[in-house]
Amino acid sequence: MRKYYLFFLILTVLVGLVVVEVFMMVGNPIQIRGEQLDGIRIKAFLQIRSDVEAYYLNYKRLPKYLYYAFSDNLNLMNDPETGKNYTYLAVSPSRYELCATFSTNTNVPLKSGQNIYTRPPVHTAGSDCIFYTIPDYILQSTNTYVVPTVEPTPPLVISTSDDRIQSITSSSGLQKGDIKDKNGVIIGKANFPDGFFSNDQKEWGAVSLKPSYGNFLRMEIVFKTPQKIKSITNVFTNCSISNCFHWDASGMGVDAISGTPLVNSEYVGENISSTKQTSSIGPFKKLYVEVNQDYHVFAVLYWKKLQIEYAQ
Amino acid sequence: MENINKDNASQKILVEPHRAKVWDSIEYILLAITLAIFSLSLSYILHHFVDVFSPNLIFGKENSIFDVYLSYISSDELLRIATASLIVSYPFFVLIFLNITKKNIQNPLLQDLLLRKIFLYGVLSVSFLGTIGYLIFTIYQTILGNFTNNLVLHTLVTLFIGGIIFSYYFLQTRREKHNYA
Repeated sequence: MRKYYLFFLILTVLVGLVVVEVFMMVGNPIQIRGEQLDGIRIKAFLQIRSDVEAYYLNYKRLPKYLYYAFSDNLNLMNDPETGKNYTYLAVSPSRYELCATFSTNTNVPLKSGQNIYTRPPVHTAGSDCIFYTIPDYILQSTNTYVVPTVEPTPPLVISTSDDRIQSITSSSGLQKGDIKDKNGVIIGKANFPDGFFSNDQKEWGAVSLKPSYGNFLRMEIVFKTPQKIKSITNVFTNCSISNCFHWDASGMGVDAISGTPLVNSEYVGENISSTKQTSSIGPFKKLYVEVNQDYHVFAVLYWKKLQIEYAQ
Repeated sequence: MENINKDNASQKILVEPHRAKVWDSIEYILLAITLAIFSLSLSYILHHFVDVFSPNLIFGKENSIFDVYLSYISSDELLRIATASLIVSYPFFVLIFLNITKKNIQNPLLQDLLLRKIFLYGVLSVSFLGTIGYLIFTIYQTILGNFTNNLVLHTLVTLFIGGIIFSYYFLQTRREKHNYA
């Protein structure tokens, strides 16, 4: 048996060396765990950067505190290891830093197979900060971004001035109150839902800050009695990119259990009165109109008018 | 009376070894499993080392059997899987191998177990097929003009692992035949 023990002693040493070499090649488990934790931190930083830039687009300034820029992803601000918040500091009007306690040091020469684009941002192990600057295209943006002043309300069910409508329900909370431009001058007001139907161009029907699912907002309109619908008109504002919005509509018949598509993906830019004939007249007991803002960098969705032309 | 006792004792020595337990057979199944995992994972790791330390600059990694058929998983992932398999299978392989060898030395009649025969000839066949298969692959690559240090090292790794397993069990069978003769 001695020769077997000797053989396996040598083999064990060789296998041990092989395992050590593999760890040196692909990284030991502690190092890999550190890299994964840093990956989560950097991913959170990128999300924070995106939200800070969206905030800057709307408010023309950096947020004072990080949670100003976040309305729904608050758990992203916590370090995956310590559970503490990342540190945010605006160091100049367009430059800010995000700090965390990193597990690894990326300030090393590029590894084989890595290039400057796939390399993670440079940071050292331990407490360190990464600086970000608001990009020029956002700094130079000439859009007038208006600011609702009142906190969002929960989804609403409200009677309207349109006497055929019993109620309108919004899919997410809406802003109410004065709308100011970047200089603080009041240019209108958010007045859900009557703003939709009024002819006052200083009234917005729905203003939604960070709608619940992407930049999506849906209105459920319930009629007092079933109505025949000829066309629907929508006006959206404050997104200068062409075809920034697309909207859809569907109706629910009197005895129907599913909706009938009435308008399908109508693309439109800002301040354009988008009128579309419905593909079916009805009558409908309910009407659903929804809008998607395709450029999620804009954190506020401005839905100015929603008007319904009824058929006889 | 003494003669009777002696007879009983000698019978006991002759009869007892034949009572092989089910566990003795199962051990060969476990040995086959651990040997397969251990040898394949060690083989993959050594092949990976060859690609890292002596890369094939002319033909890339296409000449490696492992990377042709497993290219949908990243090689680092495969390396980690192979290392985990090696760390788990190696101690079991050593313990089972030493246990079986010890029992066979103490009780040579255990060598007649059917599962042991199946294991021996199975391992011989598989290791022979694996080695000869890789040799065919090597010659094929050589005909294609891919005669590089990388290919030679890959072949040596296969011959080394396949060769050790094959020659150990081949010598075992030779020795047994010699003993029976």
